[in-house]
Amino acid sequence: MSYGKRLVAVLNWRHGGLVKSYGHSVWRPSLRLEAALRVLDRWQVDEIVLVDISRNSTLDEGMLEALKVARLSTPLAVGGGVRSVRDVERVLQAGADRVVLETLLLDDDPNAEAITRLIGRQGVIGSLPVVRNEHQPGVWRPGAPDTRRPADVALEWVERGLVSEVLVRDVAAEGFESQFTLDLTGDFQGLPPDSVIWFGGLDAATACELLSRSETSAVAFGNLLFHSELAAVTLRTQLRRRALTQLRRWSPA
Amino acid sequence: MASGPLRRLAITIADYRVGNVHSVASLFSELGHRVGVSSSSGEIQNADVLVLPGVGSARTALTELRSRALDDAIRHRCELDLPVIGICLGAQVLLGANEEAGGEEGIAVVSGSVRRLDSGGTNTGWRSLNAEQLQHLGLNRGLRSTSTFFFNHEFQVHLDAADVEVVESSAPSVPAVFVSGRTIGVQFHPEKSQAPGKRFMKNVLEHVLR
Repeated sequence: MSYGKRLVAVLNWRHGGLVKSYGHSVWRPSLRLEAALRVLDRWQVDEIVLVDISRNSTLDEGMLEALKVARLSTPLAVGGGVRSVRDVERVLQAGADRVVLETLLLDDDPNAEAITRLIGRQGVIGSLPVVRNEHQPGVWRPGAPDTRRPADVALEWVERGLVSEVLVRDVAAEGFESQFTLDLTGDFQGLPPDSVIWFGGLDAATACELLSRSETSAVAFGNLLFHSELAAVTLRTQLRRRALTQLRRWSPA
Repeated sequence: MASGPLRRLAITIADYRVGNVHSVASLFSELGHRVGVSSSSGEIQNADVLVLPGVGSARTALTELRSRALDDAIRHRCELDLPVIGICLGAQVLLGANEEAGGEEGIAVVSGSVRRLDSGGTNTGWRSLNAEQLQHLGLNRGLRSTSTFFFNHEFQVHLDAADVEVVESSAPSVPAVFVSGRTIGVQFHPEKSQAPGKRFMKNVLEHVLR
C-alpha cells in the first residue's frame, strides 16, 4: 500500500506445517510455507507475520529452513518458540526482520527485555490474545488464568519500551471472516498512535473502521488471503476504496 | 550518468552479529553479484563494495564492530573512498555520537549524530522518498515518485556536513538516504522493499561505482 498504515498477512505454523486456524481449536493443512510466502511476496502485502502456534518452547527447525529458502523481499516477523536472544539471532539469520513475542511478555520474563535491548523495540511485536469473557474483554491464556485488562497489558508493553506494536488477536474469531468483535477494541483507544495491529476474523468494512483510528498501525488477515488467487489484491482495492478519505490523509505528499 | 550493465561485483556483507544478513545477501545475489559474509578485516578491505546490514540496537552493533576491529577497517575504506553502503542501523553506525548507545561515538566517517525520532515513537511502514532529491543524485532510475520503501527505526541520523547530500522521506520527513563520496547510508530496508528496493539498490551500486 502506498500509505502509512499496513495490510499484514498472518500465517500459522503448527507441528511442522502451515495450517489454517479456526478459533484456535480446529486446524487444517494449508499450502507449503515456501509457496505461501512466495505468493504473499508476489502479491505485495505490506508485511508477513509467521507464528508457530504449536506452543513449543523451542524454535521449529523446519520452519527456519523453509524461511531461508524463500528469499523474501517483503518484511517478515516471526514468532512462536522465541525464548532467548540466541533464538532471535537465529530467526533473523533465517530471513526475518522482527520477532513476535507472546509468552515471554505475558510472563514478564527478563528475556523479553534482553531481546529488546538486542534488536530495539522496533524489532519486537507483542502478541496479545484476547477473548470476550462474560462481562469484559480478557487475556486468553490456556491453563493460566489472566485477569488483567488486555488494553492495560498492551499499554504497559508499549510504555515500557518492550515493543513497538501490539498484535491484538481476537482468538475466538480467528479464521472466520466477519467475526471480529469490535467490542474488544474500545479500551485500546488510549494507546499511542500507530501501536496496534488488529487480527482475527476481520473483513474489509471492519478493517476500514479500525484503520481510521489513531492507535491502528495495521490490519492483519489470515485465511482470507488464501480464499482465492487474487484475494490480497481484492482486499487492498476494497480497503483503498472504502477508506479513501482516510487514505488521502495518510498518503505521503 | 552513464548506465550500462554492472560487472559482477564482489560484495562483502560485514558480519557483526546484528543484522538480517541472509535477506541482504539475497538482494545482492538476485542483482547478479557474488556475495560473501565476513568479519575479517582483510576481506572487508578487498571487497568491491562493503555492505553494513543492520537490524538491532546501536550499542550491540558498536561493541561488536570494535571487538572485531571492523571499525578501523571501515574507517580505512572510507578514507580511500572505497564503496561502503550502510543499511538502517548499518548506516547509523557510520556517524558520530549515538543516543541509542548512550552517546557513544560511532565510526564517525560521516559528520553527524544519531538521535531519537522527534515523535518519540518508532517509524514503521512504507514511505515514499523526495523524488527531486532522488533525481538530483541520479538514484531515481526505474522508480516512480510514488514508489515506497519499508522503514523500521526508532532513531534517525542528523547530518552536520554541508557536503553530505540527503534524500528525505515523506510522512514523516527523515533523512532516508545520505551520500558522502562513495559512502551511502540508507535508513530504510531496500532488501525488504520488494521491487522498488531492488531497483534502488541497483541504482546505488551504479552510483558508488561510477
